[in-house]
Amino acid sequence: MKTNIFKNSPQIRWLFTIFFGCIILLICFGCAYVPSHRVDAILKMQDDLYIASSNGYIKIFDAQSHELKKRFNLPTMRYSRSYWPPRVTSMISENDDLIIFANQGTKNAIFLKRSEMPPKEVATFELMMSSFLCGKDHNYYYLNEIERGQKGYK
Amino acid sequence: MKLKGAKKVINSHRIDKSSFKKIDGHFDTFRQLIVVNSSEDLLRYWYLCIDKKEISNDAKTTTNISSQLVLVSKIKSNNQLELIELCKASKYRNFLINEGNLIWIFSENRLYKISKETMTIQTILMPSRLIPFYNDCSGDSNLIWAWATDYGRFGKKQGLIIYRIDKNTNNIVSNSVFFEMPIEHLTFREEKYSDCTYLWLSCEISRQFQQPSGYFIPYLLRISKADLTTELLLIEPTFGEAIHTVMWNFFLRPLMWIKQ
Repeated sequence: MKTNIFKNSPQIRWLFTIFFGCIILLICFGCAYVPSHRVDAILKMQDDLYIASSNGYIKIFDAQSHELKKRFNLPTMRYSRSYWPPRVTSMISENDDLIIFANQGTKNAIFLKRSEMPPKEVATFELMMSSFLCGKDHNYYYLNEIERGQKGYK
Repeated sequence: MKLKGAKKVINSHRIDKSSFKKIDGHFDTFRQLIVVNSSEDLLRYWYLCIDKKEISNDAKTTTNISSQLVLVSKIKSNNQLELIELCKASKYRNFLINEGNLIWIFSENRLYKISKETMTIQTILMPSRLIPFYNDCSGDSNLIWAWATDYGRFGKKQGLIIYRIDKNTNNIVSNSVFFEMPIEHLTFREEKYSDCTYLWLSCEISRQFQQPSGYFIPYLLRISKADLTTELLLIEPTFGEAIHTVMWNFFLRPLMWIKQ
């Protein structure tokens, strides 16, 4: 004789409902958070147009036909007990190497993509500060960090 | 009692290119100078700086509202520094363009034309706060291209004005840029570029006015230098990127969080 466990025990029915409800909620949360896609930086190197998208991807377009040629993603950065895609503040080229300055929260990182590196490899130098590039010469990169003070009464 | 706005503090540092180590301050000799923009030619490096000594004795604290703008040149052969004081620094960004024998500095609605040979400064008043395009074309030597946002009537519809500055006569010619598609709200970013035939700008567009920021769609705006015709190129995430994001949210980010 077949028994219908859902009919006979309402507890099991509730447990199934809660279980599937949680899975649907998790899928909704997973799909709902998509980082806002905006163009963080543009750089033209030879015939390619490098575009840093705010979801952590560097897209390489053909400057003439605007076709997507290649793309690679930057390593995620740990911030607030979790890992997030970095926000690119500036992109520069030096001797055919691509140097990307990015930050996430209070952290700053320099990503170095040498021309001879494999397509998906990027070297990372993490720095404990949130700053942006404002100049360079043969020895140094010049960076500024802006802190906003607290509002107060005069 | 008056509510005072939040004070802006700028901490300046430099990073050694070979070791990637952080060093405090931008210059060893003039510690009060903060580099905001730089360029180079065959003989010198040019740095546009803010002199923070003007505002506060505290070496760490400055607001860039009433500070002095200084042009610093460093001779490549002997690292000797030379300072030229300019004006009050803009509370917005200041830009330096180095082309040929001239240095152009954009600050608020003033344009400074500085001769590298004689170090004479010529001040040109501009119709509004302009942002120059960085030029990547050696052939286009007679013009400097710049842009400004056109807020339109009552600030509701935003547009774009392109300015052409003649290097010899200092003549400024402006042209409004029109878009073929109906656009309700535009946000231009300062990421801009110029090559021999096109000006490139990045922008975000909302079809409906005053939408939350998440509803803005990123575009690359390409403007032809010849006839100022525009083309909007959509930068959208690919299918692979969307899958990558969902996977990160769904599995990897919670796993990283649990691991810690």
